[in-house]
Amino acid sequence: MSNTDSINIDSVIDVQNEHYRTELVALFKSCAMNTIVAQGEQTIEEIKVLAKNGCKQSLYITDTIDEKKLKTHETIPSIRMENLLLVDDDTKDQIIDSEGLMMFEHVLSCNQDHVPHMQLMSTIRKIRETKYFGVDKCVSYGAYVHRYVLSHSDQRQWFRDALFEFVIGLSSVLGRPTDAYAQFAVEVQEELLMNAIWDANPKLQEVDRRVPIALLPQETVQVEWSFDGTHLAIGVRDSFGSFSKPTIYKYLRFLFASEKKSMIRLQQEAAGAGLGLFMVLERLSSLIVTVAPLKSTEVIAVLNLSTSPKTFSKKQRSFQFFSV
Amino acid sequence: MEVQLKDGIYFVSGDITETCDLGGFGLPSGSVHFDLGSVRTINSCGVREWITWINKLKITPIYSNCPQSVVMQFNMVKEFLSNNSKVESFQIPAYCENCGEQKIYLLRSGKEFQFGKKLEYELKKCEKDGCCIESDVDFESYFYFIESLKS
Ligand SMILES: [Zn+2]
Repeated sequence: MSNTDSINIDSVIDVQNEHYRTELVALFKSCAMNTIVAQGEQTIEEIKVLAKNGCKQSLYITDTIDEKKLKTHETIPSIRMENLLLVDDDTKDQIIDSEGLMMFEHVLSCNQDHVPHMQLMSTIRKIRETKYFGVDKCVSYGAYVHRYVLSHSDQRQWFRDALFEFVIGLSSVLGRPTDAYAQFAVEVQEELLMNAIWDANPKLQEVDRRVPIALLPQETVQVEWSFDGTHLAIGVRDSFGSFSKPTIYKYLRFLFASEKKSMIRLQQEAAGAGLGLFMVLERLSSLIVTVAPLKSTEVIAVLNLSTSPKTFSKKQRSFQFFSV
Repeated sequence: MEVQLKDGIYFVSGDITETCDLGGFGLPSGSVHFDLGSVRTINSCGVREWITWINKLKITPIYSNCPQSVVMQFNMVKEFLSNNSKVESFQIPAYCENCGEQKIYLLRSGKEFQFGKKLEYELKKCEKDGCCIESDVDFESYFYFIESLKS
């Protein structure tokens, strides 16, 4: 029996770390994905074969950056590759400095010898079902999604109060105080909203933000929150689709940088226009950016509330970029 | 954001955003003591606006009771602590899983910390057996501003 709504996706696994490789193979087998393990020049040949057999899209998973090879993959006709990079504490620092990072749509952290199952599955599901937008894909199935529309910059006060109360209210679910999470969540939402109201809108980019502004119907911002018992997802979607990949990649290395190193760099660069994005990156576990060019950009921040606020942002960070 | 004067101290509360207008509270120039204990959140435009007003009003601020939201900005935006700013005290939020107790530790300048000096600090445990009080913040990055600021 096959699901006619979803496409089949093959994966090429080019992973040096043996643990990760074994785990990936088993995981993909469990979800009926055709998996090819290849290394070196072999990947090019394998992808050529896939393309020849009519495969339109394939996932390429690796734990090293080989720009030359990735560029060769791109030249193979009639197949689109989704590149996914696995990083861990040992590889993070060298990887974040590599220019080749730009060639990956997805960067996921491994933790304690395990690949991040949940993020992998949600990435694959999106590609398979070709449904990308919405926070529901970033939390466990069935979690309730709160949906709102913002049509005036002054409504942000309501959004701040409501989200703060919402997260404070999760304290009894999590069995610990959630004040710090509430602060983080509100600050993240603020930056995403300001970005969607002003930065994304070509008409308002240069406008003085101290002046409250009413948005036209085609400029309104959609907001979603969802909590599944562990993850809090905050999604903000604009109607412009002006988000550029280089912008986000400029800051991406900070998402994966080791703490002290990133702090020093933040100090040096934060004074500029990127402060808002730095603030977001410092307060989240996963960042998912989906762009439908000239139509819509959705930025989702996921906060993992199952760990102490002290360590939560360091654990299992991930970044996903979908251009659809 | 609200600012209220009480016994010579300006108490700031709420969210510091782009609408932060320090011009409306009759602040004097020179040394001004702000209690930031009730600041809930700060956004990126709010920090910049705050710094602009401090410069415009020629204020030499003394900050006390700084919560996590403020300390995070001290560490990120060094201009926040320019103009000979002083930090008199700041908070460390902490929680003990065993006692289920939430606690705020207040660290004071000249007592628990000295500016320009790396701070090594250990949270004092409560009276109960098996107390495992743990801070909500990572000390290395949280204390960063202390080292980089002159006394
Ligand atoms: Zn205790």
